[in-house]
Amino acid sequence: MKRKLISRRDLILFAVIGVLILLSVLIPKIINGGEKYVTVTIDGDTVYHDKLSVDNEITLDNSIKIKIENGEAYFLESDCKDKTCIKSGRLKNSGDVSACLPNKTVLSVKGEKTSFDAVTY
Amino acid sequence: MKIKKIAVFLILFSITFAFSSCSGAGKVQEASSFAMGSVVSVKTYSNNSKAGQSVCDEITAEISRFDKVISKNDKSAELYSANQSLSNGVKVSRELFDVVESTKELFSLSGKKVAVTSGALTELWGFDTDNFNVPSDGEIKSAIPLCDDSALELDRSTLTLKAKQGQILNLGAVGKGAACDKAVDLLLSHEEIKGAIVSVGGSLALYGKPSGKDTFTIGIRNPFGEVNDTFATLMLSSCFVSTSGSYEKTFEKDGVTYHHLLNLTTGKPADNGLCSVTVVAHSGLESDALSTVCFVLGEAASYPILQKYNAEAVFVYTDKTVSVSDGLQDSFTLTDKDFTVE
Repeated sequence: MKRKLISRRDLILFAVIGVLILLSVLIPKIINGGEKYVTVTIDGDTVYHDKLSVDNEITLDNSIKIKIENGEAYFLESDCKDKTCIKSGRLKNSGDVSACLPNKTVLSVKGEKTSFDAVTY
Repeated sequence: MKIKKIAVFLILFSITFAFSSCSGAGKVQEASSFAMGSVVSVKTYSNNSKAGQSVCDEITAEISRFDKVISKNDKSAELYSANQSLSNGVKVSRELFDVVESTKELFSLSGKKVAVTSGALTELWGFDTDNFNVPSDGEIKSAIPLCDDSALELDRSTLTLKAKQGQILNLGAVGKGAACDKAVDLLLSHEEIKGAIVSVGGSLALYGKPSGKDTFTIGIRNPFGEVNDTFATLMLSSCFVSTSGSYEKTFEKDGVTYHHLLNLTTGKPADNGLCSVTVVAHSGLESDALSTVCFVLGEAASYPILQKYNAEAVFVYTDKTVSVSDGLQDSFTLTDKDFTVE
């Protein structure tokens, strides 16, 4: 009997391994695709970063309070004059951003899927 | 034999796929900062995350530096000090001279409704100092002649600016866009950056290509909604985009809302039934300046000027009708059904 370097069984084994590799790459991507994250920065430095699904109330050193609940993040309190940050409303979609300019604080929501690359305003 | 082929194919396919999803079509790096009284955010697409991050940081630093050149209110800025001795003639840097010259040239098409020397009126209303105030008709009348660029003399050979006593240069209508130009100058010197988006307070520089796509998808802010609401998208390749809206910098007095986009011939906020104009142009200074000019002049008078600069625009009216210039018809998509496109 002629011996082959790679038998039919080996090939099937390789194929199975291949498919497993493929799935191991794809599955986490699909699961994480919908996950959104909240980021808070002060003057460009990140001071908070966690999932939007995690409820939280954050008090920053600059007196700002940020609330994260039911998949929405928003400015709750600020000592600034114009309160634009509080009026800017609740962030829930990936790509949403609001800021408190006097306190150099930016609140943003990001995820894998975004509807836009940027917004002009 | 057949099974073998399928098996080999599957193996190759899986390996290729696994590798391609690791290296990806590019790495995205981001940075943000504050300059020009607004948020600056930078996103770069490259194959080298370290290089991408360092370019992001370089750009935010460059925009902060440029802010110190063109800021009218920052006492350490070049424009601030130039304004102090403008009536005697003042020598400035080539960088500041270039911005003032290009802006004056573009604004000269507005029939004196928009000007570089708008400072006397913008300060009277307090729009650039946040000390909002409705001036009296008498105050407005005496400030209007000071907002006339024909008295502004530019001498390129000596880089000297000179204006009448009382005139104040204000680059607020072009600063964010001009900062986008600075960002792109910097990007051009970094070959490793394949694409980038720079936002200076909503004025955008779209550079190269984002990873995995040929065009950028840009949302246009809904003038009637909250900060993050959009009503339409534009699919664009490399270009500059700016929006002027009556929702920015407003204040209310005795039940009337006043916005910052002044018509310098009346001395009052422009009223053409518009609530925002978005302009797509070939430089940031142009997109920013043109969005202001179009807002103040109204749609009909804007088209010849847009044509001269080979620019396109989206006009949004207070009755939620939208008008899109011919060159943007294919890239514009309405996403909010409350609006109607004419």
